Amino acid sequence: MTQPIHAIEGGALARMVLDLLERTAMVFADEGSDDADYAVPTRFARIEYSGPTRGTLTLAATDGFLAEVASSLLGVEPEDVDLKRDGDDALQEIANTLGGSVVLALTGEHCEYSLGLPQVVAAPDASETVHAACVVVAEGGPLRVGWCDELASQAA
Amino acid sequence: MSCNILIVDDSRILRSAIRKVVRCAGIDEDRIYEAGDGRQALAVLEHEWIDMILLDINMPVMDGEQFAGEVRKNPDLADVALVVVSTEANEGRLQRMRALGAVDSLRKPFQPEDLLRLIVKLMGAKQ
Repeated sequence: MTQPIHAIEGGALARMVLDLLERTAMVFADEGSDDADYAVPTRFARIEYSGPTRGTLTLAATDGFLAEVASSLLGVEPEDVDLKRDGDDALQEIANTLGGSVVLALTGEHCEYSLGLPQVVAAPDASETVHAACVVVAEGGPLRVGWCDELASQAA
Repeated sequence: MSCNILIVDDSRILRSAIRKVVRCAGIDEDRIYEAGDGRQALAVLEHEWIDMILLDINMPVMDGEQFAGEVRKNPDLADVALVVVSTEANEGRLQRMRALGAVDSLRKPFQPEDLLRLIVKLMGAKQ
């Protein structure tokens, strides 16, 4: 049976990010404001999904944010984190886990979506449409997340 | 506990986090093995006796479903407890994993305590 597909708003996206950071890495963050003057992101990742609709999540993080998450996962001090290796790995894992939460939120328990593999990218595509976005701020810095789905494109 | 555990996940940092939880379950460091994909995991199984596999699904090279299919073909591995630890939400794929012998699953994001309880429960049942 085909499930109804629910759009995702920025607040819901932020709650998913906050939940996964707390559960996976014991990193506590707060939802930030889109217009606040946070540090500029330096590392980027994206993950695509397909199924009843196709969509993409894009993530943009600062080195400080990723050092905090990676240090918590590895059990080392933030200054001992290798950002190229561990920071990128942490960002991809956040993208992967968030992707799972998003596709579950789209249709509920009888999910028909499949996730692609998370990819570190050089920089976000500025022309890419974003249907919902959020920023969460941890002690180390901010993480920005954008969601784009063809469902939302059709509704717009 | 005298059990050998294999962690299969393409994220090195997550394997490290899971390893910490496995150690908290009382598994000695030298009884914990890691693999970054299904093919690497099969190579570990050729040389080591493994009691439990904590298996991600969404991986490059050989994903968790392909790996579980290979494990199921080998009668020598019939007693290995296969546990899915993944973001996977696709119900059809999870059903296929159960059909391939997965005894339990834990969806990411999970709290370390959730994984700890699962390991202790399954290892307790095996011993």
